[in-house]
Amino acid sequence: MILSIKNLNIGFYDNQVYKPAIRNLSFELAAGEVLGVVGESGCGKSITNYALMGLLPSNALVTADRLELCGKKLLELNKKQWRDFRGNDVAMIFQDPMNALNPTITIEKQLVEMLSKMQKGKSGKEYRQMALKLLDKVGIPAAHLRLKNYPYELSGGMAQRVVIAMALACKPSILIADEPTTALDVTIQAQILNLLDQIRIDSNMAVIIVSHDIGIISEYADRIQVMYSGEVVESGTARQVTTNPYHPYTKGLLESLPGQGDKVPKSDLNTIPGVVIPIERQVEGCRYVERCPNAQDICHTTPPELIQISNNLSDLSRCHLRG
Amino acid sequence: MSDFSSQTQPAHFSGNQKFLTKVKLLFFRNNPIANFALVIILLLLAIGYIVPIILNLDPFGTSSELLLSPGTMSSNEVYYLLGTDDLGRDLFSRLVIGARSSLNIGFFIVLVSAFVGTSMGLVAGVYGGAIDAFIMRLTDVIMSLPSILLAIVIVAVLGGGLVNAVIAVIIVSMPRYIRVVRSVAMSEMKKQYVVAAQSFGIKRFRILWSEILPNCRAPVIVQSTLGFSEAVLDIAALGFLGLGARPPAADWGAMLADARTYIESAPYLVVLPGVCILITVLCFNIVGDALRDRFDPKLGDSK
Amino acid sequence: MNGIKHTVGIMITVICITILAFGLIRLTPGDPVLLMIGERGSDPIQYQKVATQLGLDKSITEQYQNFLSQAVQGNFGTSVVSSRPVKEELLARWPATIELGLFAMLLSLLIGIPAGIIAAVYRRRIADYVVTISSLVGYSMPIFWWGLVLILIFSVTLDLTPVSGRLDILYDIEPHTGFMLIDSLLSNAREEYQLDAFASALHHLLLPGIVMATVPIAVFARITRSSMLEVLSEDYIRTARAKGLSEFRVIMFHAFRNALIPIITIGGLFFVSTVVAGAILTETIFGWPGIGNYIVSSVYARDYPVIQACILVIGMLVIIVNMTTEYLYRLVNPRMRH
Repeated sequence: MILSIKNLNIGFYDNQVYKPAIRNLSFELAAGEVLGVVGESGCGKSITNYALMGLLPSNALVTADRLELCGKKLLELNKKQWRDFRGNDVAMIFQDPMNALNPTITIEKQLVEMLSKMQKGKSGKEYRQMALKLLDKVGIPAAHLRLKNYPYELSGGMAQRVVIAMALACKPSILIADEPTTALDVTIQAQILNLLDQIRIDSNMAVIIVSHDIGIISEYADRIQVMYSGEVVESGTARQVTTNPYHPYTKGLLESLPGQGDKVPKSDLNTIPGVVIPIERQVEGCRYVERCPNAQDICHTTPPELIQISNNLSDLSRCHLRG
Repeated sequence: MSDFSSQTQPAHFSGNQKFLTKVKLLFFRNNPIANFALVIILLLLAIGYIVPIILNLDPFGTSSELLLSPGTMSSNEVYYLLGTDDLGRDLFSRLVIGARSSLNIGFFIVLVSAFVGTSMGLVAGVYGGAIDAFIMRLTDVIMSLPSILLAIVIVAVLGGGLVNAVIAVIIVSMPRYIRVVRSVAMSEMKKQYVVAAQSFGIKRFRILWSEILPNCRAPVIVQSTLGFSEAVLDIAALGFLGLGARPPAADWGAMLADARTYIESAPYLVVLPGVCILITVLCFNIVGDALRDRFDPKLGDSK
Repeated sequence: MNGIKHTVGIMITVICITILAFGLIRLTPGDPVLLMIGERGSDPIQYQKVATQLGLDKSITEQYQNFLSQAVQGNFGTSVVSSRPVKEELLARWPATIELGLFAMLLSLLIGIPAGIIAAVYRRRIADYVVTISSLVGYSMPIFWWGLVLILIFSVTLDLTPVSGRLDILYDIEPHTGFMLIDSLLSNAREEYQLDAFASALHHLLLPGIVMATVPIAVFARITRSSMLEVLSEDYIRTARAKGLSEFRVIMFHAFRNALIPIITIGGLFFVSTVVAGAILTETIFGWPGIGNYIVSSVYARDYPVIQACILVIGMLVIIVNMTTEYLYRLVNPRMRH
């Protein structure tokens, strides 16, 4: 296993008050596997990723029974080790590629900065060649012309390709993609996702892809994890989660997709009423109860556990009302 | 004057909820420094406007026996709280009267320059075209010369004295209002509802009055607060250079200029008026910054 | 297109400043000729000469053209007080002001910008509060008083620094460049006094420099802090951290580079006005023989040709600095390069 998380808890201190953001998260990821993480904004999907990168703000508190990535115990890393770890073992790409690149530095410099950190002591020319190769690999046409460009001279899709090239520079064992296509045009989205898939196959990299769009995720992910208000509410193989969802929230997400198969005609697009309850709020029962269409008494009083729901060990759901 | 004291020390303080909420609104949440500065400003107002009524202050009376005497003393039934200056005048009285005159001058300058500046900014932003170009060029010229220099030039044309110094500072402080109001007006004019209103044939003046002016309130309040401190500072600087208030007027800047000669024998004469200027300017700046943060939180702690 | 508009704007401003300078003696109540030549007005020959020079018999536009062509050649007339050409008077005092101004600028950049960076990086920690509060105080400082207080502490009480002037009377240095720091290092001065004269010049520069730098330090610290805070929350800073770069590199190479854009724009705007205003007040307090001191005494003496020249020269200086700012802005902001 490349990534192994057990009982991860993350919270923030706000004026000396502890506010939890992620509760008891556990999952594992193998090399070459793609995990899709789905959930509305504000459910804590990104926070887990920042914890894996060590990029949480200083008022954050991370605890876990086990938090291992590429064989390293993340909770024990010091600052220097974190820096070596980031970019070496794990890389990240972000939602808005136009803002993810430094606007005052050329593409070449931003790439070479990364390359020279990985492979020290080469000549400028060699670095340049490596940068060119990377740009070719992510499918940027006329790469040699792009090197001297500033980020504002690229389109969104091109910029995201550059960000991906930068992430690949260090040949990471795991790539975290935080809403990699949200800010892009629909036509570009598929291209970028295909590119990511291609790279994953080539280099047997594990990928965590985060999105609020379960439709996109289901096409690329091996496994899907649905998060709600800081907790995993359902996880399983992509097929299991999308075709046979257990948790009412997952069902709600699927039903609110346009044109998902023939089950739901477009005219009947569903929405989930209400909003996510604030993660820091403590509740007696299920965190989804306020929005759940078939909530029972037990849902108000007892918090549901994450329980295996099929023969497959990894198919889990956090709901009292199975089936 | 009696009206004023009833405003600052309200008799109906207890029991009147509305007034309490108003007082609460006056202060800042999560900003103890700004609240402290606000209290100091209220204290300054009280000292400047109430103390002269209560106490019998004499900023001009000289005493030939007590020259340059520091500390508290009394002589001939006159009580000197902070000592005397080079002519044996009571320093405390002069500082208090100086506070009153600084506050008066500050308010006057802010009122006039904010009124004229806002009007010009509105006209420039709403009507655009040649008027806008003219007004902006004017502000560019005013701003391209440092305010003290321009004030000095204006004083050179008009001659020295407090009135001319005030006129100079008014002119110098207008651009801040013009620019901020113009930018608000221009961004409002582009908004859909204004464009829509115009397309219905509503006159521009009406739009200016009912849609744009209310949006200028917050930035003008912020600029007025910051402008107040600048006005006090500039008037003091002109007074110090001998181009503003003239002796024997009790003006902080002029007092400093007088005291320079006695820097070795009577340092307190130099220190105290400057402390008064610094505190006044500092408190208004702090409150101005806090107001800006309150009205426009996304600007954060920016300059 | 924008460039043309900008250039036109600058030219109009230049014209307005010349009109202001030109109009000065004509706006002032009284006979302009008497204003220009002062008490020597009783001499009818002199009177006639100046009247012709001012072209009072000609139309106002001709007078203005005449004024402009004279000014372009650096001919600003004769000082009423000294009867010497204003140009000479200004040239004699200019280096003193520039020396003081550059020293103050160096101080304010070297202190203000790092202080702002530290405050932003250690946001809401003690370092931030110290920088924020002291920059607020510095920004509000009446520097004419601040100078006196520093004199009181360092000169009167501690006897560490000189009260006024640019050099001890001990040293007699030939003015070559007018810059005391340079002149004191030039060959003959060096032979005679070794480095003592240079040390003395630096010693004299210290207190006025600090006084003049006080407000700019505060301004730069404030701007740097706020623009660094803004930049540090940008996505590309997160990217830089995700690349595993050292915190120092993230802050200095990635963040500061972008923060420089607003620092240059606002800093350039503030700088000249604080320095010129600072020069006027600081030079008055420290008896520094520069332009600022000269303007004030010229206003007292109603030396109008000098005031006119000072408006022109300082106005042009402001515009030159603004153009430099614009250039620097383009340099750090690739979007503006074409």
